[in-house]
Formats: sequence, structure tokens, C-alpha cells
Amino acid sequence: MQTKDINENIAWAKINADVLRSMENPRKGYWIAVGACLLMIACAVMAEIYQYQVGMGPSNLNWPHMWDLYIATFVFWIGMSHSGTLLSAILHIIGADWRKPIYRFAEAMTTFSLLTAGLFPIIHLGRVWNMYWVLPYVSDRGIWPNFRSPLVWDAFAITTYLTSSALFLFIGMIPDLAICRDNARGWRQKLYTVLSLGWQGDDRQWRHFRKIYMLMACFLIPLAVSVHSIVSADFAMSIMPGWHVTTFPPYFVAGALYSGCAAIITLFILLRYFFRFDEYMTIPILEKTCKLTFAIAMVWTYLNLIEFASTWYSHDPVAKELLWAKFTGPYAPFFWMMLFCGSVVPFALAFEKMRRHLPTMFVVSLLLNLGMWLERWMIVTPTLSLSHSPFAWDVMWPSMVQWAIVFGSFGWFGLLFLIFVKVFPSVSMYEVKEMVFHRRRHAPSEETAQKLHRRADDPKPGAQPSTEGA
Amino acid sequence: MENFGTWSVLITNFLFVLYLALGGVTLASVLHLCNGQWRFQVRDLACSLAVLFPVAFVLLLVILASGEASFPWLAHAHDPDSHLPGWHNYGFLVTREILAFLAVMGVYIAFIKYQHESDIDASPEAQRRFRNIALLIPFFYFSYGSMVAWDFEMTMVPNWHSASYAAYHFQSNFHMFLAFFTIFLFFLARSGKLVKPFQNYIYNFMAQFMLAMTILWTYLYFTQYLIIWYGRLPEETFRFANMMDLGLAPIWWLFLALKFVIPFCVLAITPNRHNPVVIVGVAFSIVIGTWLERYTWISGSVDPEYYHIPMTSIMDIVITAVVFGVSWVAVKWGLTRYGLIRA
Repeated sequence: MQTKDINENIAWAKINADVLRSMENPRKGYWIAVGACLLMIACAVMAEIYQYQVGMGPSNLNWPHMWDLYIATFVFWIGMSHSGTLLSAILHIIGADWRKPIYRFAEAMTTFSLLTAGLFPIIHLGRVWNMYWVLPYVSDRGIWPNFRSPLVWDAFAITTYLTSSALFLFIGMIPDLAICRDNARGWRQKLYTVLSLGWQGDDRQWRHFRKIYMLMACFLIPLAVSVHSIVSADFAMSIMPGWHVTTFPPYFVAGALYSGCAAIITLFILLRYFFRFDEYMTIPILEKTCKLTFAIAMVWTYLNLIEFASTWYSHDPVAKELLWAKFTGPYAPFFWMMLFCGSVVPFALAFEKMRRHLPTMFVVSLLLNLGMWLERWMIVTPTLSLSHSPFAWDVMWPSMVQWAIVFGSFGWFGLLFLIFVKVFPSVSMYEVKEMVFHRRRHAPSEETAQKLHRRADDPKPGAQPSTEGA
Repeated sequence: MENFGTWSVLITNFLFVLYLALGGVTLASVLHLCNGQWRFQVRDLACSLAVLFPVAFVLLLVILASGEASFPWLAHAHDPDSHLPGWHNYGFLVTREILAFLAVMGVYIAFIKYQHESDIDASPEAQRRFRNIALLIPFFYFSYGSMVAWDFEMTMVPNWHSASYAAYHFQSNFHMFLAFFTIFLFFLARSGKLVKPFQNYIYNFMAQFMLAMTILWTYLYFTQYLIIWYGRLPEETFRFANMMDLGLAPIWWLFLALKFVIPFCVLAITPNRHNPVVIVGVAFSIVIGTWLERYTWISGSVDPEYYHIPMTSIMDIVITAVVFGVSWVAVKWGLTRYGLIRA
């Protein structure tokens, strides 16, 4: 049974070779996944063209259900984006080095899920050509965004988060891009030469690199927390029953970290298979990710329970009625499924045997994310169907147009992600080397201690590429 | 009711003692679950604070027995036009508080026992038993902390509710525990009586932990405040307005400074996190801030004529001196009895 996060005897040259090879020849499954994503995108594009030509009618978005799957899915994708921040920034700051082989793709998830999330408010507007009206700029039409509206806060927060997380992803890749540059040919070499910004790996560059990386990590954590708190403010700042709840900001953040972690498990298993990353994406690392997910799942469950208890305790009949309707009304099957997927399924993560079984974990991670998506839907829709005014009570089901666009968003995210892992190193080579170095140094045996600095098949000093030590 | 300020001091002291007893074991459990290697240096000292459970239990009985004096809502519990939520039932209150306290104390003491066994017995069974109970501790802390938050603070104003209040309450008290524990470690180390002295870097770890908890506390405090403020529902805002505008206003702003401004500004600077004297200074700020915070929420639940600025009455000082004097004797006895300090 594998017990080490990584094999500390792995040669540095082999790390380079394995990661670089992954960018050249993935398994067939990779191409099948790309094909599936393209098909999903095609569904969404057709639905969007239809909606664009006919208007918002076919989406079934109508008063009182002005928000539905589009906004729920927007929140879902924003939540997903927290995975990268958790692994890259929080675990980086607390010095959990097991994150090193897997943080790169988590960061990429952050950027691509934000790009996916950003599509939904635009699609939801109907008049997509007017989307720029929400941006804060002075225009001669006298339009000035309402700064008291959380929707405008969203625009600020999400664009800031997207910019910062993309920068964080890029900066963290520079040493690896230099390795790619030194080993690539053709268009790839040109691309990596431009992107590696002349990285030579000297002391000065490393010193500045470390400083800026740490600084950005410290900046990203409050930013990520504030982004999802602001998204929660879209709901909580109103006085709608079921939305005006003080746990919403931490609840949204916990849900975001939860879905992000679940997605990391899914993609961990897929990448491990596609690129034969068995030596880097190891079972002990998966176990740690699962434990982290379990802890977050329990926080999420607690916040749910305390919200229910608080509603029961309150003297707000509308909020009580809404909560009861969630348990017993037309949306009850989805609500119960959300609770099952979000609070019961994670107990599978508490058992070692299950944590170490990849197919089980794959299914569990998908169920967790189904639960998280349902959570967002169950936040948005039941409140609108049963708000303060009885004359506005209405049950509405999303149309095929909405479903197709939501479905396609997974394809869009998947395609961006799959392109990324094919073009850029999805495992951080220099951080894995650092991890191996530290593990060797702390290895107890005399023999290992002698092999501290260099393995037999590592390049000789001088022959090492300019990125040595990366 | 006339002396609710003094009863608030007693309740605040009870919460302090209770969370010191809970915090030590919770810290040991969390460090074990996270595999924090530095836990071996501090966990016995942290768990030694569990000797405060009996002190907390006596205080709990006194508070529960005082009835209307500690729980002003009891005065209206039988009014025909007063419809209190089902939670407000004296018999239910006493039962749940006593049973839950005893259950939590039992589990926490079992944790200490299994921790000790895992130290001397390396068998997989002993380790597994210890790990399993360590897993349970956070669940107990969250659940029991939520109940305590509701009973002694949130529901003191019937019908005022905030879903995040419970989390805000027990997180704040864990923040206080960390600060208190840092002071505790500092003075124990300076006394030179520790049987197993710890390394100096522990202060840095505690400082980092306190900084993280300061930020989390501020987040929970501010998000709760923001949502209530933005909603502008009178039944929600009146409690904040009472605390911020009436007799407790100076204390309100003071605890914000002590719990957020000072710790954040000081601990955010790296060299300060390596200086034990500065860290202990910040820890004092957090401990005092938390005491004032608890007092504000409890006494602020009634009209201003029924409370006073704390420690301006001789009874406040006597009660606090007795509670902390007895607690100190208990902790000192525990440290000596279990061989953690030299007599």
C-alpha cells in the first residue's frame, strides 16, 4: 500500500520528462473527453442562438422567476473557482507541501470556472450586447452604476478575482515555462519563450519570484473570500424569505470550497489517468484532499442545520413556510437530494478503504458536485416561488433552453481545462522537485541522506538547464 | 433584573471558564487531526485546563438556579400576550444545559484519557481509539457551542435571531482561548517550573493561529452586521442599535479595537510574530476584548437602566475575583497533580 505522498527517490530529470511527455501524448480518453466537451458546447450554442433570436420567452424566465438556472449555475461556477485559492494560497501559506503536485490544475480550474461563470450574467441579461452597462464607467448617456447594488459589487469583485487568479496562475508557471522553452520545438518553443519572460533561474529571479508569489497568495485569500461573500450578498442583502440569512456569506464560502475540493478530486482522477501521473498524483495525496473535503462538508452541513434551526426558532411565518415547502413542496425531491449528496455522501470520505478506491472516489466527487449545484438551485428557485406576496406564488420548471446552456457550460469549462493541460504543464515541476528535495532531506536513512543533493541520473552540474533548482 | 449587569458579569465569567475548559481539548484534537507536529509540546498543558469543568459546572448551576435574574425573558414567559418561541421554556433550558454539559464533559475527559493511553501504548487499537475520539471533538464543540450561544446570548432577546450568531460566538471564544493559552504558556515558561519546557517557536505558531482567528472573527462579525444593517428590519437592527448607541457604546467600540484593530495591526507584521512579549501583549488585548464582547451581548439584551459599565460595582469585582481565583487554584492543582509543573 502506497503511504508516501511522493517517492523521494524520483530523479529530477524524470520529473521533467514525465510532465513534458504529458503535453505530447495523452491517452485516448483525453481526446474522447475533448469530443464530449465540444458536443456539449454545441448544444449550448444552439440553445443560445435560439434564445437570442426569439427572446427570453423560451427560457421560461418570467415574473416571479426572474432568476433561475442561469444565476444558480453562475453561483456554482464562482464557487468552483475557490479550489485554486484553497490549494495554492491557503495551503501554500500554511506550508502543506502535499499540495505541490496538484495545485497547478486547481489554479487553472479557478481561472476557467470564472470565465465560465462570467458568461451567465451575460446570457441571463437577454440583451447580451448591453452587458457592458454594468461596468463602472462614465458615459455620455448618463448611465452610472448603482454602487449600493450588490450586483455591481459582483462586477468589481469577479473581475478583480479573475485578473488576480489569472496572474497568480501565470506567475506560478514561469519557472516551468522556462523548462518547457528549453525542451520544446516549433510553435511551442516560441510560445514558451514569450511566456517565460526570460527566466534564467538565477538567485535574484528566484528571490523576487518567491516574494511576489507569497504576496499574491496573501492577497488572493481575502479576495476569494470576499468574492463569494459578495455573491451571497446578491441574495442576503434582500429581505426575501430564505435569502436574508446571516449565515449566507460563510455558507457560500464553505459551499464554494466544498465544490472546489470535490472538483479537484474528479480532475485529479481524470488527469492521473489521461497523463499517467501515478507517481505525482498519488493515493496519499488524494486521501488528504478527501479528508479536507470531508472537513469542509461537515462545516457546510453545520451551516445548513443552524439555518434550519434559526428559521424554526424565529417568528417569521413566511420563512418557516418556505423552509417547510423546501422539505415537502414541489422542489422537495431536489432539496432532499441536495442534502443527501452534500451531507450523507461525504461520509464515504471518512473511510480509508473508500478513499483509496479511485472509481468510488470518482463517483463520490461527482455526487458531491451534484449536491453543490442543487444547493445553488435550491437557494434561488424556491424563494422566488414562495415569497412574501401570495399572489406571486408560482412553481416554475426550467425549459430545455436553460438546461442546454447549463449543460454546455460544463463542456465549455472542460474544453478550456483540457486545452490548458495539453499546452501547459499541469504538474508544477519545480515545486515537485522541491517537495522531493525536502522529503529526501528529512528521510531518516543514512543512504538517503547521502543522496540528498543529486540523483545518479540527474544532469551533471553545468549540463543542467538554466532552470536548475526550479 | 435591577442587577442584571452583575448577573451578566457572572454569566460572562462562566462562559470564560467554560470555553477555557473546552478550548484546550479542542485545540489538542484539532492539532492531532491536522497532524501538527508541534502538538506534542503543548497538548498536555492545553488539556490541563479541562480541570475547569467542575468550576464551570458550579457556575452553570448557580446561573440556572437564579432563574429570572439571569434570564429576564422568564418574567414574560407566562404573559397572555407574550408568545415566546418554543426554545424559551425554563424546564427545557435547565434540562438541556445540564445534560449537554455532562455529556460534553464526559467526552472531553475520555479524550484526555485516550490521549494519555496513546502516549504510553503504541498499539494500533489505542491509536485508533484516540483518533476516533479526536474526530468527535469538533462535532461536540460546534454543537454544544451553538447551544450555549443561543441560551446565554442570542435568545436573551426573545425573537431576535441571527443564523450565524452561534458560529460567531464559539469562534470568538476559541479566539479567546488561544490568546489565554499563549499567556498561560508564557508565564509557565517564565516560572521555570515546567517539567517539559517547550521550544520558543511555539509562540510564533500561536501568533499565526491568533492572527488567523482574528481575521475569521472579523469576517463573521462583519458579515452578520452587514446583512442586518443592509436589511434595515427594525426587529433585527434594534439590538445592535441598543448596544452601539446607548450605555454600552464605549465598550462596543473598545472590544472592536481590542479584538480586531490591535491584534491585526500588530500580528500582521512578521517580526512581531516572533517576539513573545509582543505576542503576549496582543493576547491580553484579545482576552480582555472577548470578555467585554461577551458582557456587551449579554447585558445589552435589556434596557440600559438595568445594566452598568462592568467592574464599576464592587459585586462585579468580587464575583470575577472569586471565579478566577478558584479557577487558578484548580488549574495549579491540576498541573501539579499530573506532573506538568514542579511543585
